Amino acid sequence: MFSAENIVVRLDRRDILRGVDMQAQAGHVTAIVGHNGSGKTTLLRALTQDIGYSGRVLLDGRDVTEMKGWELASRRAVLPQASRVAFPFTVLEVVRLGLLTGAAGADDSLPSKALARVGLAGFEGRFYQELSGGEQQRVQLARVLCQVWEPVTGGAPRWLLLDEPVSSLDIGHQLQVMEIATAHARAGGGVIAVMHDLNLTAMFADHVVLLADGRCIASGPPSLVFTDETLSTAYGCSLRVNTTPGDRATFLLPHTAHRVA
Amino acid sequence: MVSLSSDAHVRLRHAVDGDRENRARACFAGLSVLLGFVSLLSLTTGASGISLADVARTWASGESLDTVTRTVLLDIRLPRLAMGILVGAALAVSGAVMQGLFRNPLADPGLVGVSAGAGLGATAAIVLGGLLPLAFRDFVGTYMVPLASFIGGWAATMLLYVVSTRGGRTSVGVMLLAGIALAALSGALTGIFVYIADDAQLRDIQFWGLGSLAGATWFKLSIAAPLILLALSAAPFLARALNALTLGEATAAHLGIEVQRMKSIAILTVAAAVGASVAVSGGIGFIGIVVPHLLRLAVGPDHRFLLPNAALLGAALLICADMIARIVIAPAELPIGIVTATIGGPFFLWILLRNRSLLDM
Ligand SMILES: Nc1ncnc2c1ncn2[C@@H]1O[C@H](COP(=O)(O)OP(=O)(O)O)[C@@H](O)[C@H]1O
Ligand SMILES: [Mg+2]
Repeated sequence: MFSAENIVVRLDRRDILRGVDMQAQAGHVTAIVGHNGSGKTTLLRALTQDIGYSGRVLLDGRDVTEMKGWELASRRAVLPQASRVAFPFTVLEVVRLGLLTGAAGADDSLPSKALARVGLAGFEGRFYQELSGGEQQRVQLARVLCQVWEPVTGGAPRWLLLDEPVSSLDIGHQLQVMEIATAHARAGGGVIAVMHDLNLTAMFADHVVLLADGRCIASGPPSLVFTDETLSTAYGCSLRVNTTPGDRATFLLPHTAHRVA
Repeated sequence: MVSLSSDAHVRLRHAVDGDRENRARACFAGLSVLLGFVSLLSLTTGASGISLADVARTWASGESLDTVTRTVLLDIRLPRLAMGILVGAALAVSGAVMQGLFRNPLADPGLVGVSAGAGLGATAAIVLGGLLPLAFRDFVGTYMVPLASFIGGWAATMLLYVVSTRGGRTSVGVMLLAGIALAALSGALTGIFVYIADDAQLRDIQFWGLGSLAGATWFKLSIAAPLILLALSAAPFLARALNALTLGEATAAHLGIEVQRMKSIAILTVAAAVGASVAVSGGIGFIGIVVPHLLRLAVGPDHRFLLPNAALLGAALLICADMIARIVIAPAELPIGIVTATIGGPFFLWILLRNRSLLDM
């Protein structure tokens, strides 16, 4: 279990997170959603030790600040919202960086397998800088997958922490990436993803953490969190949640939303 | 059409699988041979007209070398060659490390003020040295200038580090800009010393500032070599961390790299290599930026291969530059810094033009 207790983050004398609690179970896809600037990325950065915070972040009951860098790296991989690569690396060379911490016996074919998984088979020899934004994002995902390829090792789940993994992708690849995340969770691993798209969240997430202005205002399964009232409060506009007739899947049409003055 | 053909071009260049390890190994073998070759050439080039063939013939016939030949080879050319190899390797490797650290192909110890700090130290020693009590001057002797330049380079690096590090984190942008400011400041202070220097001191400053391997002795070498060798042997341990750092500091940390510790080691490595080099051979520019750039084109930016190849190419290039410096106006010598700047300056401009987008940060 990945959990955060009473996380407070202050940046530039502003409270960005004001006491957020969250829990993510292995085996589940946990989505962090909320309006722009609500603190989703900041929360993820606290979970990954990128920024200072007060409160506690626990991985399977252990405070992460007491874990070594290499130990954390073997337990969780992180996909940032955007990634630049400083020098002209090939795609293969970028993906191979995921094997850096050397999860013992990682085999050489893993980068190619990971690339095939994200739909980029045959891209190994291309230069990273010459790819489109969506392709670059998927190369980074392949690197992250390499780092925690086996969802469970030594009885402990390994985690994928993803910041808007599908934001620059077309609909086909959005589904592909969400299916990869779901498969990782179903195999016993853990997934925490910052999500922008509420429909994809409703489709794929098992658990949702809804942020607004640096606070968690609701959490639970999407069917419980995604109500007209809660979402309208969170996004500052009047929203209507619908369900499909057959399997009662939750969906949201922008057409039914109204801005409140 | 155009995009298709450039695509095919890229694939061809990288044998489809994007793996450049074999190419890097081949390059290492080739550069080793090249270094061996230019080293022999350098030993047999010079004013006294001793050729390697003569030496080999003498040895083969079982005679011992005459004293003059011995002295020229063992006490003049050999230390000079060894110094060239060490300094060339140190400059190229510290350039590559600095660029990896800054994630910018234009970052270079010359650029971030390390060399300028060392230069200030040396100039100060030359000009102020005359004011020191005679007893002290005798004690420090000829090593005052090298010592001061080493201290200057180290102080510049430390200052740079303190200015650009806050809460245990080094900001690359601040460090680059602070480096430029530091270089300007060192230059200005150096200018003041030049202004108050007398004619003899001026000649010293000028020659030292342009760099030269001419003063190489076994003793000087014994001062510089331990530091340079220490730095060069630390560099390979930085390679994986520098690779991770190309994805940014946060991602490097996520990959399990101890980023802050690695940055401190990298900075110390660069300070030691550059400080020691500048101390014994003056301000030799452009090796640190030209060599890594060429090698990134040839074998890719993976530091596990870039660093050892840079050591070889840096050494070979500096020895060639030294030969040119000795030949062009023989029997006199050009300062080697003039040679590297004449070749390196236009090259640097070419890199700038190719990387214009990098400057829009
Ligand atoms: N380094 C920073 N310094 C000051 N404010 C920041 C910093 N990073 C983010 N913020 C602010 O924190 C708030 C939350 O940002 P973020 O977590 O990135 O939002 P999002 O939910 O869109 O990912 C925003 O108002 C942003 O302006
Ligand atoms: Mg964000």
